[in-house]
Parts: sequence; C-alpha cells; structure tokens
Amino acid sequence: MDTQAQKKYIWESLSRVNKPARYVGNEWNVVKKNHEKVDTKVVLAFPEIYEIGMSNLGMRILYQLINQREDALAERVFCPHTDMEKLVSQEGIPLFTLESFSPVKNFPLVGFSLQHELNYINVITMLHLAEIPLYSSQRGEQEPLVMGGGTCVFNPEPLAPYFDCFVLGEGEEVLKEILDRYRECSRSSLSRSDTLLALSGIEGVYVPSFYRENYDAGNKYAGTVPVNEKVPRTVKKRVVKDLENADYPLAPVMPYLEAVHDRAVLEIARGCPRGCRFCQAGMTYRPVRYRSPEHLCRMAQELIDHTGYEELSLVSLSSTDYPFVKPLLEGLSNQFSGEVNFSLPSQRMDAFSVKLAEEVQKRHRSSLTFAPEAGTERLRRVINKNISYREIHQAMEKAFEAGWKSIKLYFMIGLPTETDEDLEGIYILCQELAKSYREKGYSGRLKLSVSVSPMVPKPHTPFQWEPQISLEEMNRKTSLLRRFFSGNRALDLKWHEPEMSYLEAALSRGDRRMAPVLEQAWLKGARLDNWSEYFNLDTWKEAFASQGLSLTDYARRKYLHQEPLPWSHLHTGVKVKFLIREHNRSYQGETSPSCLEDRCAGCGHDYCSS
Amino acid sequence: MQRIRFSYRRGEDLKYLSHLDLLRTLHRAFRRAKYPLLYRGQFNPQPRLDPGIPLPLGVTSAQEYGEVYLDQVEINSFLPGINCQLPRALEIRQASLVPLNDAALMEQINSAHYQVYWDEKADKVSPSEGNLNDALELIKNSTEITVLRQSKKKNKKKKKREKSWKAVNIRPYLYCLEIKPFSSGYLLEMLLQTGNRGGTSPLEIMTKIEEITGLSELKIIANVHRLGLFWYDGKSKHPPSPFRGKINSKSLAEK
Repeated sequence: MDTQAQKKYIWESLSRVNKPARYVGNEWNVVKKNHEKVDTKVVLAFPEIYEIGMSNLGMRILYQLINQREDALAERVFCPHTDMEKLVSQEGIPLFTLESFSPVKNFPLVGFSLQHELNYINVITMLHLAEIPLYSSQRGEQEPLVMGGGTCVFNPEPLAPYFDCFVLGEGEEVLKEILDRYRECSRSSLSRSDTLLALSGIEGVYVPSFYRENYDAGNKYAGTVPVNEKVPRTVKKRVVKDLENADYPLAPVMPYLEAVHDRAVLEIARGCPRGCRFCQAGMTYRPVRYRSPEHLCRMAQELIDHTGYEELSLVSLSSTDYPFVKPLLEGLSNQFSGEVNFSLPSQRMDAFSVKLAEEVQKRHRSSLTFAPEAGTERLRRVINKNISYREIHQAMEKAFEAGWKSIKLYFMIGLPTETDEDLEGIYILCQELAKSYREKGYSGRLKLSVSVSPMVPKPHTPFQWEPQISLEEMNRKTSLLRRFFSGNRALDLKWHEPEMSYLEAALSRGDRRMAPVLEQAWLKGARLDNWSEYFNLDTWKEAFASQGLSLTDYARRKYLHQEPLPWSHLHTGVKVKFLIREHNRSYQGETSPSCLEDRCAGCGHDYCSS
Repeated sequence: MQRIRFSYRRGEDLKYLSHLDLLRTLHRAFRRAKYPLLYRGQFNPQPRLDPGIPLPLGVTSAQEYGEVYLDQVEINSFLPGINCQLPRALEIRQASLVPLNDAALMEQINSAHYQVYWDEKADKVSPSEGNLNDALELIKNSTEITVLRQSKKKNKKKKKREKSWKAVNIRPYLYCLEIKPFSSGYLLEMLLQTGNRGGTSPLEIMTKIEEITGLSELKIIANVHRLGLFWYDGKSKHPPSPFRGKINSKSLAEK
C-alpha cells in the first residue's frame, strides 16, 4: 500500500474502535508542518492513553518549544487502548503520529515522557507497535534515537537498555541544545554511537550504554561506572534558572474528547519550598522559582484568547505558597470579570488556603481537597508535613462556614515509624471534623471522602533508603482502617490498590537487571498497568521470577546510607548529606524548616541563592 | 436576547466526534470569537447552544442545523466571526435570527436523508449490485423489519443501570430506500424517520442488509453521508424555518 492508501485505510478502520476521537488528531491549535521543509523531526510519545497524556504540561511545553523552531517539527503519539492495539497489530499498521499519520519509526528522534512507573509497560507496547527494535543495542543506523525525559528518569535503570539516552531535569533549555547538536551530527553524517557521544557532552544528557552497572560477589549492586572515558562520571539535572522568561505553551492543542483536565493550565511557580520527606517532586524540582503576577496575567489573557476555556487552573506544587497569590487573583478577576473561573490546586491545609479557595471558587463551590498525609501530629513531624492539629481544625471550620459540604482528604499508610495508633489517628481526626460539622448545625449533609494510599519510597528523597511495607501489612492496615470507618456514614473511605503501589515501589528503585522483566511481563500480557481493570500483579511476579529476580526483594529492600544506590550517578542538585540528615531527623521526630523561613534546611542545591 | 439558527457542514476530519465533543468544540469556538453567549443554570451554568439532531459516529454531513442564544451580535458579521474560530471540517454556512417563540428544531424535523456508498478500500470487497437489489426488495416488501436495540434501564431497587435488549420494528421509519448509480459504482439513498417519535439509523438498515446478504463487513467499509434534515409530509421534504426553499445541499456526487 502506498502512504496515501495506508492513511485512508487507518482512517476508515477507526470506526471499529472505542472513542475513535483519541486517534484522529486535527484538534484546535494543532501544528502541522511540511516534512520536506524541516531538518529535525521529533515524535513526542506519551506512554498512556490520549485523554491522560493530553493533560500533561511537560508534553505541551516541548510541543510548542520544538514547533516554534523553523528547522524542526514535533508530532504526538499516545499509547493505543487495547482495542486499538489489537486492531493495528492485526492489520499490520505501524504506530503512527496524530499530526500526519506517519509511522513513528520514520522519525529520527522519538522522545518518551516518563511520568509514572506504571506506564513503563506502555513504552514496550509502543516500541513494539512502532516496529522499532526493542533494545537500544539492536537498533541500526537508520533507526530512531529513543530518548526519555520526565520525573522517572531520576532512576531510569529498569528502562535503560530500551533507551538510547535520557534527559535529566527541565526540558526548556536542554532540548534546544540537543536539537542543535543533533542537527550538526546528522549534517556531518556521524554514526549512531558518535552522535550519542556528542549528545552526552550536553549537561543533563545520560547515555546509559556508556555506563556499566557493577555487582559484587554476592550479586549485590555495587555502583554504576562509565565505560567510555569521554562521558562524565555523574550526570546532573538541568534547571531553568529564569522561569519568568521560559517558553510556555499559550496556544495548547485542545482535545475534542474530554481530557482528564479539560481546562487551561498556567504554571505559576516551579518547585516546592516545603520539603516533605516522602515527596520526590519536592526534592527533584528544587530550587523554588516564581513567575511574576504581571506576566502571569498577560499569559492568562493569551491562553484564554487562544483556547476559549472557561476555567483556568493556576498550578504549582504548592500554590498557597506562591508569594504573590493575592495580587495575582485580584489581577485575574479584574481582567476576566466573571468570564473565566479559576482554580488553585495543591493547597496547604490552613485557614489562609480556605480563604483563598473562597475567593477563587465564587460560583462553582464543588469540593475542597487537602492532604494531611498522616493521622497524628507525631507522624506528620516524621514526614516533615508541618501542619498542626489546630491548623487542620481551623481550616475545616472555615471551609464549613463558607459552605463547602464535600471535602476530600488524602492520607498515606506505611510511613516510617507508623503504628496502629497513627492509623486510628486518621479515623479520629476525620470523625472529629464530621462531629464538629454536626454540632455547629450547618445545613445539608457533609461528605468527607478519605483516600489512603501506601507510601512508595522514591529515589532522591530522604525515604529512598526505606523499605516499602509488605503487601500483607498493607492489606492489614487497610482492613484496620475499614473497620474504624465502617460505622460512620458521613465518612467515605477509599483506598489505592496496594498491589499497584507494590509494583511501583519495585520499579522506582530497580536497577538495570530488572529491564528484561519488563519485556517478559509484556509478553505475558501486562498492559496499561495504571488501570486497575488491566493490572495483574501475578503477571509481574512471574516475569520477575523468570529472570531469577523477586519483586518483593526490590520493593522491600532496605538500603544502608553508605551503600551505592542504582541512581547514585544521577544528581538532582540536592546533596546526599542533606537527604541522610533528613532521614535521621525523621526518626527523631524533628522537623526541618521550609524555604520560606529565615532558617534554611540546607539542601545545598547548586542553583539556590540562599 | 437573540436566537440564532444556523446550518453547518461536518466534514470527513470530524466524523469521529461524539455529539458532546461537538458541543464542546462549538462552545469554545463561540468563546474564542468573543460572542456573548447566554447561559442556563446556577450551579453549573451551561451555554444555551444546541448542535441539533445528533449525527451517528463516523457519518459526515452536508447540512446540519443548530441554535444559539446570544446577548446581542451583528448578524451580518456572525458567519465570518465564528468560522475563523472553527476547524475547517466544521463550517457554519447560513445563519439567521429566528423569533424567540419559533417552534424548536426537533419539532420541525422528522426525517434524515442519507447516502451510503462503498469504494475500493484496501482489498475489502464491496457488495455487488445484484446483492443489494435483492436485499432492498426484500426489505421494501416486508411489513415488519425487526432489529434488536440495547437499552440501559434504571433499576430503582438496585440503583443501577441495567442493560437489556429490546426488539423494535423499524419498517415504519423507513420512508424511502433506493439504489442509484454513482461514480464507478452505486450508492444507496435512504430517507429515515428521526426524532422523539421514534426512528432508525443507516447503521440499522445496513445491519439488516448484512443479515440478508450474508456479507459481514458492509457497515465497517461504508461511507455514510447525511445530506439533510427535513420535515417529510409523505410527498415532499421541507427544511426547517427560516431555511425553507434556500437549501442547496451538496450531495456526494458533487463533493
């Protein structure tokens, strides 16, 4: 079949799948460029289904960054759902991009956005459907370079053999350098490995094939070292120093389908000043940077003009901590006078936040979400989530007064030093809140939904050395909570699938030996692991066993501070000494100050001014 | 307050959009055009915008009708203002003010005119003319054509929606069914009842043809195009007001 006939054939075949609008492209603000007129063609691949992937901000940033260059183009591809996967593999249609319906394998650069460990299986699906050789070592000169970026690349080792290179940190600046360097390489017809070597000279680029994992006599991981003398011993993440002037997508592609976040998104700050000890984003996005409210107001106008969205979400890791939040909200509400609704996700649980929420959600007062994370003040000190019992009560009083009847609270289980009293603490706290609502005589029924999920120890956090609790322990804690909550009708307890967290823990702290497990799991039928209807832990356990490995060992492994970690050669800018100190302090129940205070917790970040 | 009724075309690129997707697309286009939309509802206000009679997924259309309520807008500049905010495959072709008390679109439309044709699609076999003729005769001479429809009924006891199958006779909804030469092959023309008094879709008719002919993939490989929506009085077809007598839909032959 020629290309035209193939495109037509793909198009007509879409009538046979669910929600064909996932695969049609042609959305508002889509960028379609002439392939003949640009040098560098990039596929931005997101290993989740369309509705999820289209809400990802990083993907939008890169799309606009590449497409604004005259010498480059970027097209998108998402993971096909199971019905589409079946269709395209039966019909022999190679994975194609949404913009031009071109086979992904025809592009020289394919960049995957790695945002969650349970998406890894979808990378295998997509490489397979794209007909790109699965392992980097099998790829020939004509095959694309497969790159990876996103939060998971701070320990990409379980994926290492599948990728040609990883890019650590924020993409805005480094991507420009990569495109320039790649263009030079292809102009001088450099070989694949010379191109990779040239790319590894850019700060933030990690080419895993130039490094080797060592193991000791007991088959224990013993460090990762370069096998090529020209590459650096450690790779450091890239940071955008000037967020104010960084590129930002003000005309994002708008899905026809309802995406999970069907609204305009404006990033007001990057990085979180708080330093919760379990939180990977809190460590890896340091230092904290802000955009000015004046600039944000101008950006908001352009964003709304280009999209017509009726809601604007002001995002950051901790929006309440944005120091100019008042002037920003005032500016925006004057500017749009009721035409646009605003939302401020990721709020701290205090009275100030509720007051902000009140100002923001004038019309649409749906529900409020907070994350106290632990049930007792003692345990909150352990994880450095510094909100007091009083603050929580004041916040909720204020929320009830303002008329909110639907409140969501997030908690974690399996935190270091946690006891059954801490779990009971979750119940006592929620039950007291419900009681105070009842006693104050507010009209209408309160709906307090309580979500608990098991802690996943993440690389580059103070809890990176901690084991995850066992599956049996997760189930015991969950059923204990269910018993506590069973009698109270105002409280609605939901819990995250423990088995999914278990695999997440294994994958997030894995080493390179784990890589063949992914292929095995895929062959055994693992797909779309992030969807509980598809997830099956047994498939994964078998896949680990087939490689002589144990999922439990990886999830439950406790590391010593002096041991090398599979991600020790990758640096986030935060000093390991700081992580060790924070880990020790957690066991003493000692809190550490946030970046907003006069005192400094001393993470030692290279780009931090203090 | 102005009530504007418009006719629009929906091309190949947008044939896989659901009715809700289309509503969202139109809504945001009106917002980008900065037209003063009116909203309904206090808690979760919805725009007073109606894309009309839903088009089945995978079907293109030459002539759809929709309505929008706006605060105040210059009707002469309405078309260019909105069309530059719409994808190319969605084009508003005519628009005019209608009285606020004009009968609803649903009350002015009872039938839809479809064209169905098969072309050479990557080694799939098209039905032969003889095949189709036989099936059509059989259908037209029947007094009862039964199809099974899935419905989701609310079960009040279990507070759940339950799926169930229901047999429906669609013969009364079939006004007209013909085969005509087209390009190198032929096409089917169908005039089918639609709306809240019951109706059928070209997909149901094709399912019936598949059953009769034993050909299994007719639906999948068919191109289906809606030529227009009308009030059919048994003799002739009338477009809704105020477009009576003004309509000139492009049929497939001209497309």
